[in-house]
Amino acid sequence: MSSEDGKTDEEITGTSENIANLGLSSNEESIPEEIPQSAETPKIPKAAATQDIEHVCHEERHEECCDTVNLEAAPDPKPDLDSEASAKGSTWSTWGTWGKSLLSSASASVGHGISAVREKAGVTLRIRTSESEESAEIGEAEAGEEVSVEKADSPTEPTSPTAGRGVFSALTNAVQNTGKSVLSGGLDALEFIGKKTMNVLAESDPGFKKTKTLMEKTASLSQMLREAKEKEKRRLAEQVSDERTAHYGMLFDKYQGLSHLEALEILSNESETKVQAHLSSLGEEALEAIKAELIAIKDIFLQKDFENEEESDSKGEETEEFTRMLTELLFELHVAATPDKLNKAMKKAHDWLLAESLHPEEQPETLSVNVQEVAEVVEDNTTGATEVVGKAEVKKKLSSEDIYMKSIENLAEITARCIEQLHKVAELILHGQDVEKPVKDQAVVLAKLTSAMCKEVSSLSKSFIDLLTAAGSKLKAEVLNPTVSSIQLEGNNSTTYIQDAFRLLLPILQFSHIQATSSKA
Amino acid sequence: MAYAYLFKYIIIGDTGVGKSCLLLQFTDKRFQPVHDLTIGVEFGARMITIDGKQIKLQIWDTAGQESFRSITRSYYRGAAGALLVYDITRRDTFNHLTTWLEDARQHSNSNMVIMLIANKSDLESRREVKKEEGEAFAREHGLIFMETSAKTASNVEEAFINTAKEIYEKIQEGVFDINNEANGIKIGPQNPMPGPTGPHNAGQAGGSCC
Repeated sequence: MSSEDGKTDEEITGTSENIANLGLSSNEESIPEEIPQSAETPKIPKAAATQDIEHVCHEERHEECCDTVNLEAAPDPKPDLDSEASAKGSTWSTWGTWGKSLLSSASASVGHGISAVREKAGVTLRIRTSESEESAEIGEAEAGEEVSVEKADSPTEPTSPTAGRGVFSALTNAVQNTGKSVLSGGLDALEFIGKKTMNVLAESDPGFKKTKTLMEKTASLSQMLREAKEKEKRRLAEQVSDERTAHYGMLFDKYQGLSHLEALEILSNESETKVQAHLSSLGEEALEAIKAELIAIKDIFLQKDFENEEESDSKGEETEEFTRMLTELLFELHVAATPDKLNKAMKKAHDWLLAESLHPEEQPETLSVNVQEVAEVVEDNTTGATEVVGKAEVKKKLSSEDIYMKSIENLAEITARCIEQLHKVAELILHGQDVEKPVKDQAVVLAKLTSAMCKEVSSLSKSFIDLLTAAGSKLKAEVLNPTVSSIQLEGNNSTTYIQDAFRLLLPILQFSHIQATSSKA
Repeated sequence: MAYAYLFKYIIIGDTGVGKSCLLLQFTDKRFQPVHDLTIGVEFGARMITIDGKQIKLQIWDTAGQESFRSITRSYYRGAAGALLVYDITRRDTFNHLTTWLEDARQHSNSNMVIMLIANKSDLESRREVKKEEGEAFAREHGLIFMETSAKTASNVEEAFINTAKEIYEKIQEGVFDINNEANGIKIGPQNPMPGPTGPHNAGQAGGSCC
């Protein structure tokens, strides 16, 4: 990403720069793209909530740039003939072997043919594709296929081919299998080639790339989030009502994070339009002059230093530090935005952390049994029962499940409040009667503010993880780890949302700057 | 939890007429005599039932102050319903209705349902605007009319719900194109896709996926 930034920076300094380049939107990392990229932290087992967001993003990308291709969502197992053949080889027995073998070897060879085509296509296309991300994705998808095939395969395998009609059923089976695998294999290959081709096209043709980003841009950030939330809701509706799950997206919406983001987007888009309108009304000289100023503001937004360069492990009194900094920065902005709600949410989270961290030591011995029980119940995936056990447990100590839920809720609330804060700042900047502070300085302060917010959020999510790990020390890793990484992931997502909201401020500041200069003139 | 439709509402009107209080009464069923000035826009949401269908109201409560007008106007677009509020104890808030209405009509879609609300009906002794006047204005401009009190909660539910009913009827009549989100209506996620996209819908306890 940073190299892409470099690119845009060059474009900026170039002489033949067009007006559209003034906004971040012309940047490679336009907002809709931002989420999938940062959420794509590989190998982290994803929690339900984030997976959804990610899915939406992925689906959107695929749907928009290559209609039918959708690797993730394809629900039917695609038989991989390689593994099928080998699985069959081991179970072959006396009767009807030849007929079956003939057919299955036929099917195997067909399959081979197809996978060879796929491979070949893959190789040729991959040569031209520099992005390893794509191939990794496909590798994953293929790995997934193989697993599901092995499972799906076993029932079709005739258990006793010695029976009279064994031959026949084996034959029909094989025929069916062949048909299916030819069909799905064929589709698979086509899909695969199609996807790859699109990617290669995308890589090699800058024009296409532009269209692609343009297409992607049409889906706004809040739109995407909303869709993710709705998908989540749909899934939740399918689930048993008692089951408690932490849904970051829904909680984020509950605290009006989505609405504030949507409103901020509206303001951002309108400001962008106004900036463009103003610029196109200017003469050459005036245009050059103001463009330089607007680019200077943009450069402040592009600086990456606010992305947690050093993460101090200081704990404890950090809330007050953050509150102080927040108030100070907002004061510096010269806008009357009070951070009450955000501070309250922060305090709530810290108070809860503090209260929780006091408890574990006084945990009586007998509890460990209960914790073990909880672990087993959770393992059996009957989460509904956990609550019962959890209630039987001591009241003052929360189960790791509860801690997980509360952590996600706190993260969602704080993130929503941060975005609300940035939205309020935007409104006040646009409202601002006489701006005493130069917009450039405001941009610097806002960058600092965003950085402080992100730091706070990531330090909080770290504390949540520590708490969860301490509380769940007796749980099995398979139970604990997904929740830990889920918090980690949502913490990362939180900072991404905050940064995205920050980027939406750029056109607003640019417009504010134009207003300030034109009122001076 | 799932809803059939989502309607976006805006609440507009002069400062101090009780817009935020109406919202608070509707969403939280409580009244706050002293309310902070709204900056830009604030939000509220509630689920209601119409014709046996769950409908989520997403309410944008705008700032009434003149200086925020240019900002709040940006938020009008994409609203399915508007509550235009005045204060029966302050005639000037009634006199400004025309401006508000023009503004709303200009910056939103033409099908937007507008409900005229005469708030503070509990303050009968200080009344400056007669109910008939409000009714006449509403009739003249094709609005629905209702007198409310955010303090006593009188007619507050009705105001929000009747607006939704009107929108709902318009949908049934085919006036609103529900597939166009610029109309402020969204179809809810009520039709669950039968095919789960993966094994991970068992909740967070189960699924490490990679």
